[in-house]
Amino acid sequence: MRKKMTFAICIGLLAAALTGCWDIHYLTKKKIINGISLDASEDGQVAAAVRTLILDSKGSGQFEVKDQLIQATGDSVLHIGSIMDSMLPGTIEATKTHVFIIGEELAKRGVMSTLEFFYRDPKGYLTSNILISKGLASEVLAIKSAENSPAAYSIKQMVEGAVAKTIIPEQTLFTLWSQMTAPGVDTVLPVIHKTKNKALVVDNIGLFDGSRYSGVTLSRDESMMLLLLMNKLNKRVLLDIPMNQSSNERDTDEAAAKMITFQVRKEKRTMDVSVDKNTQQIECAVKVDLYGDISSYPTDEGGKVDRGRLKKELAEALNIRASNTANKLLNANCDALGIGRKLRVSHPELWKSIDWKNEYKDVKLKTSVQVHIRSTGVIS
Amino acid sequence: MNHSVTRPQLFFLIVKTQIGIGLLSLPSKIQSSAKGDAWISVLMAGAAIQLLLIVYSQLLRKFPNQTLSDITIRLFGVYIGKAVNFIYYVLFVLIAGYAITLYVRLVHIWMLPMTPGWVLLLLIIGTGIYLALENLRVIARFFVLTSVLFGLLILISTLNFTNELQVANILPVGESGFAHMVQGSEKTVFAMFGFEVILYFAAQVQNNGKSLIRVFSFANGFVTLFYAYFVFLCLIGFSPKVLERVNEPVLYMFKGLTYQLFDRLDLIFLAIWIIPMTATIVSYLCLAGKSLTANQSSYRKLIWFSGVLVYLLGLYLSSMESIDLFRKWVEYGYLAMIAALPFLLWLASFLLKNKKKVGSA
Repeated sequence: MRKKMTFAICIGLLAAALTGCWDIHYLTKKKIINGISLDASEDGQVAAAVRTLILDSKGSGQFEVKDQLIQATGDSVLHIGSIMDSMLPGTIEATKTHVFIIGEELAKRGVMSTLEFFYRDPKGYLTSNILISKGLASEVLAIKSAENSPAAYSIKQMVEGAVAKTIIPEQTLFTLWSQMTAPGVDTVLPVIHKTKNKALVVDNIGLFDGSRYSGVTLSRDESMMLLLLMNKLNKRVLLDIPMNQSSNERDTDEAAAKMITFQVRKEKRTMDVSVDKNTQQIECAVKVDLYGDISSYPTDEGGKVDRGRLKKELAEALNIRASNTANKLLNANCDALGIGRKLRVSHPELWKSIDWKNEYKDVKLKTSVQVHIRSTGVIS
Repeated sequence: MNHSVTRPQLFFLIVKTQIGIGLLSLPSKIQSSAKGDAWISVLMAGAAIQLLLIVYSQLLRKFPNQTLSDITIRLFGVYIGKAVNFIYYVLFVLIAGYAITLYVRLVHIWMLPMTPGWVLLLLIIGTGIYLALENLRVIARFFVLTSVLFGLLILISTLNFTNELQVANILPVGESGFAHMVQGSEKTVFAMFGFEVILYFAAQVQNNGKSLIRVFSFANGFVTLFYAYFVFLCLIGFSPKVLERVNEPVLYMFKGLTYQLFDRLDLIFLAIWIIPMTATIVSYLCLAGKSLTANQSSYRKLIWFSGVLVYLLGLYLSSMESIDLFRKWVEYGYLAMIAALPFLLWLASFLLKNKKKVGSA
């Protein structure tokens, strides 16, 4: 009997100490942030804008989701957070933030010190997408989305769509940290910008030089090419290639409008880094084999596709594109392909003796693209 | 009453005691010295422990059905033997107190920042004592049952292969040099503490007269590979600089994953990991009990007493700013007691053999 009593008391005591009493958080008392933009401000300060969700209960478990834009300036993210907290009802909660947009100027200053808080906080949500904006990031976040859905969700969906089509790399806070600090590789981030008619577009890639944004962006075509060179084909990629017209057609206006679309479904890439024994010249040869289908081939002639010729023409155009992309990488001093990483593994002695950041510009980067047409759709 | 355990149960008793809080921070600790070769350090530590296990099994073969506390008394006589056993008792309590402090700190940082430390301690010690009070067979059964979770943990961890992994981080193999690797494996041994339960638990295995070395080796092999796997995963998952800065890389790794259905896998992983961590506490409480008494009723009293001691120690250590000094003393002291002393005992058993026949019990 006595034993049972002590047991019951123990259980009672333990139950009384249940943790919910201390660490309980009510969703209704939270202000949930789902998008953050960070810009450089004067004196090294940071200007931030956030999108916070407003959940309007419509009864019977239904909620209407709206969002609101708040802006504040401060010295660090947490500092801004406290300022915003005082501006808003409820405690702000950045534990489910879907997008981070970094302004161009701040990115050039380096972003890691600004983002540090999210890495340190155990509740930090590191799978949020991170983007760079041309111009002010707050303007991007301030965009009115056509539907009533919160702006940050729209941006997130745009990013997801572009990632699936291999236009931009999938970058989250988590992947960013390792890439920024890894030796012998530089990171690239997707770039978001506003078009003249105030729509948002995510189809460029911004190149980083070490921990700072170099200011160089790749165009849509080059972005896709870079991802292919990096062997980062997602589900598919649609390569638009201006058609090489036969000589008699070349002068007409029509020529410019014609595009072949080649859909890549599979790629094989080899990357070889070698060092010339005599000149110590570092060479890198990237060879990409693309397998895919012709998705669009608008010709007037209406004839069959000459696969052999088309293959050659596509490869030619893509080769030019690839070498342009490679040149841009070298000029921006952005080792996105991770040549340094390969060099460190294959030539550890050389790696220790050189300053990679200075050496990278002089690397001979050779690219070659091979095209394999597997089908031409349902018509030939 | 038959309180014996089977060989598979012994396997799980060893494994569950070894795998605990140490693993979570291990990759960054070894990486700071062994760099990309940290995974080799783990294998080396496993090999070193294997040597020690051979000594253990030789020692135990000479004294079947006897725990370490019986052996010390037998070899050193009643007074010195009891004194040695008391030292063991104190160390077991200290190690349990140290482990529980780390445990509470971890839960405090990752999961329950607002909950006072004494409450967390109470909950852990409460469940720990509750299980440790039972006989070894019950404990073993619980350990076997919850070992299913290791499968789940490994399953969750394979999700990390969808992250960006850089095998180049560990290449070229052997770059950091032998000395650094040894330094790393030293740290690993500390995280692998728990194999010494053999010295107390093996006596209760059915037919322990036969060599148990196979069970020991399997357990050690499993733990070593389990550790090496997680260390490897962290090495290729993080850049070296990040790995150096993250305190619990094994948990942090899961922050990079998100799914439609699951999010914050780090918290899910930690919630499961709580069970092996608690199992470690249970094992040490049990060891503390067994080190001083063989009688079940005095064992129970001793468990209550040790539980209170561990609780107080945990409270004290939690209030300290840094427990590094404490950690160093306890770790090295403990290592001496579970590595050097059993070895001496084994040597001493040869001397004894000449005088009178031992192991005829």
